[in-house]
Amino acid sequence: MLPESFSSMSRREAVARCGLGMAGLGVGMLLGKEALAAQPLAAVPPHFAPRAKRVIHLFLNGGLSHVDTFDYKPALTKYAGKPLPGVGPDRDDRQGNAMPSPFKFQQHGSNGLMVSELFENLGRKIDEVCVVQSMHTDAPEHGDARQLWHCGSIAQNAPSSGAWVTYGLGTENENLPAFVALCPGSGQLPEDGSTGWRAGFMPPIYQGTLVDTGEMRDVEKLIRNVRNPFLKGAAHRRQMDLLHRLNQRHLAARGGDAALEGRIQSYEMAYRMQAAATDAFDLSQEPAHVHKLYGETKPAQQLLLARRLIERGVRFVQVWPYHNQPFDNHENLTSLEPVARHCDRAISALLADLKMRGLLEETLVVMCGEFGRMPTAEGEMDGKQRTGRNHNPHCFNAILAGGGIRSGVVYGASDEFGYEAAENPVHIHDLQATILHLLGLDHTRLTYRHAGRDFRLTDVGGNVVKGILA
Amino acid sequence: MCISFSLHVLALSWALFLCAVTTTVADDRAKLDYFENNIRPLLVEKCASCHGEDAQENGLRVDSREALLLGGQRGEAVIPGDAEASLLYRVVSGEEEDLVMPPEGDMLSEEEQTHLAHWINDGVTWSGKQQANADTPLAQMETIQANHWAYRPIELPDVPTHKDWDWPREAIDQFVLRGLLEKGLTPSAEADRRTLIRRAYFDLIGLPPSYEAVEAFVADHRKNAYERLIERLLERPEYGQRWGRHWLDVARYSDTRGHTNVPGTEIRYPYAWTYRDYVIDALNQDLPYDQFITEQLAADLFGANDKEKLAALGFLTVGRRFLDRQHRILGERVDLVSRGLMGITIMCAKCHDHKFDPLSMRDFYALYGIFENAAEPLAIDLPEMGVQSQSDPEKKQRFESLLNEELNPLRHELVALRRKLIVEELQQKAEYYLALVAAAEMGTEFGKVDLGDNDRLSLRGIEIWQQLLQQDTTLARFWETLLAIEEEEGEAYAHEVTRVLAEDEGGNRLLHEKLVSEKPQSASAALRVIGRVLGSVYERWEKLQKLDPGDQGFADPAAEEIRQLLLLLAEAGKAQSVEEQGQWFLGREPESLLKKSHEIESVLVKYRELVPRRAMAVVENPLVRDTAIHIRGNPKKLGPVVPRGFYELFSEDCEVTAVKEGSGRAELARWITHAGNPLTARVIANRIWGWHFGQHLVETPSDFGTRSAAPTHPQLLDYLAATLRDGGWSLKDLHRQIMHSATYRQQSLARQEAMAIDPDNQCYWRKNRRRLEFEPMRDAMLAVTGELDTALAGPPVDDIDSPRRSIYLLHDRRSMAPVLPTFDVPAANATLPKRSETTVPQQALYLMNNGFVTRRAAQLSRHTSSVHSDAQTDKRITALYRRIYGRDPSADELKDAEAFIAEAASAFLSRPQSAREIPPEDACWSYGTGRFDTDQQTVHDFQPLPYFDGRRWWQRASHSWQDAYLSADGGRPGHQTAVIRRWQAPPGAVGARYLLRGNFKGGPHFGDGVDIHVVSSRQGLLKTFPRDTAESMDIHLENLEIEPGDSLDLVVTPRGENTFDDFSWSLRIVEVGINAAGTPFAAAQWRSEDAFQRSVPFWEGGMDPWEQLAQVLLISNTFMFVD
Repeated sequence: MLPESFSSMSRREAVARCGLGMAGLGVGMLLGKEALAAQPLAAVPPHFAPRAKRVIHLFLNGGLSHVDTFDYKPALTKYAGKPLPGVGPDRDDRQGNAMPSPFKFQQHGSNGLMVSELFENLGRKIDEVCVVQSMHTDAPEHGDARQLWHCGSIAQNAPSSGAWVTYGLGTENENLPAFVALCPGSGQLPEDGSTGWRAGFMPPIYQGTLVDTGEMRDVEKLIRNVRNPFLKGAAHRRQMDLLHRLNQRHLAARGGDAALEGRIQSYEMAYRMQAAATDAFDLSQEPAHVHKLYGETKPAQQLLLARRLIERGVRFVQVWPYHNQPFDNHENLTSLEPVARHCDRAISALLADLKMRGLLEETLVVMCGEFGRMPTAEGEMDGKQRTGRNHNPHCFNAILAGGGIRSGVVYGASDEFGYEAAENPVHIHDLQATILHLLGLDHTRLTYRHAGRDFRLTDVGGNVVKGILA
Repeated sequence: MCISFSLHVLALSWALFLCAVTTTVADDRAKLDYFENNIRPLLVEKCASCHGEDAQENGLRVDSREALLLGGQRGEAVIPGDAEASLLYRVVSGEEEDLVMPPEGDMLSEEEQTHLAHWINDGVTWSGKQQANADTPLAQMETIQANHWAYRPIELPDVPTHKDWDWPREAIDQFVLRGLLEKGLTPSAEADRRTLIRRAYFDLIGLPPSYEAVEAFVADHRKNAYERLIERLLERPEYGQRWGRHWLDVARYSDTRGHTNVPGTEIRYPYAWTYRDYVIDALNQDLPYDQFITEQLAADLFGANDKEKLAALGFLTVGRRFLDRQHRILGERVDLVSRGLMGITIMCAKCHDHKFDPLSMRDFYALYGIFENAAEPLAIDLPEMGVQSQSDPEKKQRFESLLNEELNPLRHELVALRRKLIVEELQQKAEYYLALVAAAEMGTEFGKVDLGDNDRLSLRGIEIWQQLLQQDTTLARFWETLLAIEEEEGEAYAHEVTRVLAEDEGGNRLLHEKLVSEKPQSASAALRVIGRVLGSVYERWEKLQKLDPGDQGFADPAAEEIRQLLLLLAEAGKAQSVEEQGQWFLGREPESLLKKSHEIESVLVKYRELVPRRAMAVVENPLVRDTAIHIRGNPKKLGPVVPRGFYELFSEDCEVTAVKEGSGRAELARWITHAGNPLTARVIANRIWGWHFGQHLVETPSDFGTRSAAPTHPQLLDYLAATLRDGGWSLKDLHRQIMHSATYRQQSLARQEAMAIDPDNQCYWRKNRRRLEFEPMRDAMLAVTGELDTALAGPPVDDIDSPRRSIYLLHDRRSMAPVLPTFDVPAANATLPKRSETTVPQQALYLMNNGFVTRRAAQLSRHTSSVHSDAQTDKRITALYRRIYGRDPSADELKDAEAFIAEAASAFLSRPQSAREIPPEDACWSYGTGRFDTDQQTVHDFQPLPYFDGRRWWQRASHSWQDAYLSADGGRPGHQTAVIRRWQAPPGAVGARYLLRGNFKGGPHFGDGVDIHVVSSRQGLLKTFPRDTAESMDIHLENLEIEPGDSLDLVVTPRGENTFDDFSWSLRIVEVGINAAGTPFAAAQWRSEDAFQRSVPFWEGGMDPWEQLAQVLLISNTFMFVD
């Protein structure tokens, strides 16, 4: 499915290599930094052989309750309505009474993991994924926790993980952006704006391209300016040819200039992108049975689009199932049910689809939110007892599958109540380090210099979680 | 009694207390000895192996006082003055349950424990000069200062000379030439006149020269023609617009607050733009740079008689709001001033001392304290700068009426609400206000008064309380009695109180009882008791009022007496003028007040073109206080208090002295602009150089720290900095120096031999070719079509396609127009060192396909078509070249263009415009204005909208904000007329069923509402949909009876006024068919958008060959790059 290589491709690679210190590429190539600046997306080899080439990240915005999904806690039934017995550290947030999950759990797969009915589809595939039950993070509030998840730090302007990956590896497809964020905002961004896909202090080119999936039937609403409303076919090509000729004359009169050349190429890329994006973002090309497999929900349609994108070499696709915080269920858990079921069906379909196409081996699929939720019920508000759960940064789950991930593994464990990660705790920096590792990047070597120091995604922490690697 | 002291002294004593530590020299010596003899050896022997230089278990180290105060993961290790609460003492004495130190070996002896306790209780004295770790940058401050290029004093270096070279024109060239020759390079020849004028125009004013200007310059044979050109450009008002944009990147200018999660928050700043206008004006005036900085930090403190100057303070306030987290906002200001003005990366020191530069947390919080004492008034309290120039009397009149109608009621509500809140505070917090009054009376520093969480009371409040105590009341009598007691403190005092009260027969029972029962042991304690009694009476009265609002007072005379007192207080509180009110809550406004203020801001934003201008200024906090270090940057964990001040590193260079009064912004400005400051002049000289050359002498313009790369030309940098500083800080002089230089005038052609030695042009062997940034690119496109509006000043324009110069476009840091980030326009969340310059296909897509560009091409085509007929192809091509590039085409270019026109035209003419048929379904739509007669329920006076601007059909050619228009999917009614989208049923539509489907939505500042009528020529009025709000509403009608020749009018009528009645209404009319299975389906449909696009001349199926050519010229590298 990858587009045939274009003459500019080899040129770009040459420029990239030139920047890496290899000489002898002719006078026109001796352009140094300028050339790299003009071609910052040139593919760069990883630090070591990668296990995965691409990432699809379904971000469960708001913080999925682990005790209602993949972390079954029978002890909550025993203490239902009562305070949890005083084990573990005494923290301010350890309040309220135990609330057992209202959802039915069932044992699945060869590892016998209990999975709730909310994720019954994924439950049936539990042998194909890895469940990390001991995730933990540093911040109890959405904004900071999400920024930690996406950017590894709450520092102002820290770049997002997708930006780090794009900076580290460049792009595989000249015709499409390397890093795409999908969010059905219909003009609205998620709660923290563009934090999740920002370039931060890196050049804006590494920023994710936000595609507002509020209206998915129209490619032109998905990708701006992708079509010329006036010129089509031969007429448009003729116009571009004239531009090319004038630009070449201009270039020739100036004895070569990487910036000029870069811009000439960018027109060619854009011209090709008109076709490529129109194709990549056009879901109507998918046959009926595929649509049927995924379903019509927003998470499903977006994951289908994500699959089309990674198929075409997009490196990193971030998917927000809904633009607000659908998994922030303080009031009651009935609001959790529909969105969880949508995501369950969608991600199960994605895994099946990727497997069928032989893409799963080289695609890392991650499903996770910014934190988990408390095993206790929320207290009263306005005289009404609430049956939702509060934020829990001490423990949550991540589901991983695909490239380089050991399937069928349940890694780590929480305490008796799911309050705190107890066994093999995995900090978000550990997971970030692991994701980079699977892509062939050493998180301690992937650094970017800013304001006088080298920064990295994992700040000063992070250990690759060896136990989940295949 | 006499309570006379100036507020000034009062504020001062508050501040002084916090920074002064009064101990005698002998004391100090003894404490140091104690530390050296008893404590340091103990820490080194018992603790340092795990908590010292080599290892810091749990993040703790014990080898400096700061480190102990900072502590480790369990928080601070010592609390000076309180050994019992200090972790260090608790873990060695066994008082901490789960942690005993040292972990192995012997516990500390009892004697050692006692030493430790004594040392902590005595204030944790440390002998600072001999820090355990001498490797820290702070410890090596003097060495670093002496050795780092950026920290050394700026001295004018000797200018080198090169006898064999006549190339140099300016001192700059001598420095550059020396560098070139050292590398075996030579400079390039001077660029030709055409290149020079284009370069100078874009560089100084950000616009292209006209063909005539180029020709005149080429023909100008005077020797100083080039210098005269530079002078002319420096005088142009567009200079300020171009260079103002550069500065706004440093100042992280935006028109919005950034992301918010509080509903009702007005996202836009009503007055940020007055700062932008100040910057443009200051640069045009060539305001000396030191003054420019001073005004931006402290215009209000230098007796700014000129109100315009106050707008300069927007520098501090137009930043991001971080969900209103104060510590983030203030921290960002420290960053702005440090990196933006001085190239200091201080943000690390928010949480810990800088790892590489000699900068400490104390430095950070010394600056932070300055900004913490500069408060931001609410919008209505901001200083007014006069009305906007309004040539239109109609607008002015409307302004007055809208003020009455919308703004005044809200202002009154806000004033009333604030008055209520002030009175509440005066009454509720009587205890604390009395404590402060007492402290003032007894000469106690305010800082010694424990105010709990109420440490930001109003200075005005203290005054009011003082005045009350001067009136003849029971309270005042008490007050005098208590102050007259001679006993100082302790039980004797309490006895004396009881004794005195026994004699005071006419006194207040409640106060008596409480004072006797509580036995206060000092005058201030007694006053607090009184305050609490007042507070409790206030609460009782509040409750009573709730139960029975008609209640006239307490039956108990004692309580009633106090209630009367509180009423006096309330009167005094209410009597505040609006200006005095403005001094009250500064930065600690209750939510209800902020909410009201945001309502006002929304109105101000809505009428931004009309409301009087105000400066987005800060004011001095009446109660000045210093800031405590936030341990690990956590504002809830406070360490030692730091006096407001400056970087210790530059305290000698800049003659830093203690801030005596006020926030210290005036002093800050003085330190930053001090002739001895080694950074300020270097930083701005480097920035200006970079904006001229696209490459800086110091690669990291906002980081001049020890880890930054040294300047490529250190002496040149110092030369520029020194001449700037010593020559009156004129930026225009700096431009002259740079632009007059031979270095600047070089050609930009690549020379292979030079390329091989210095590919990045570090030595300036040529002038760098520059790509236009977004703003000059966009402005140049509008300039060559003659559309550009360069008027100075005014509120931001939120239409990205407006012909207004780009610096006046609305910048929304929360959600930027998509084209802006595509072209590297910063989100302005922090001060920007330099713009990125990326080349991405999305930029090309915009230029190839976006309507903004194609409309410019169409304009160009039209301009040239009126001059030359199609037959004179060469002349018309030349005309295009002259307009777009300011020159004639070369022979090759002419040939290319002619060939293109010929080929494209033959393709195009096969489908000539005039002969192009409008598809019948598109002929159905027409667009007009008219009148809806409510009595007859019919439409009258349908008049087609005659003017089209490429996107909208307008009532008048000079479309103003009161004119009706219709676009593809929306529109706006006229001042008194309805706007009508008319659908004519096609021939042959017989006996079919029709539906109307659509969604109506008001614009962002929807006005007073509209009425929507759907009127059929056959059935009359079908339905009216009144709209009071902007919310979207479906407009659906079923079973329309339509015969051939019938028409359906979709009418939107204004109500009182139409100004903000913009709406979007995307709609379609559907013909319903019934299939064989009896299921309805859409047999045909007419969408408002499709038809619109195809039925206007511009959008007719394509661009003509001339438009295509014009577009190519507009988006080519020739246009986009400046040699």
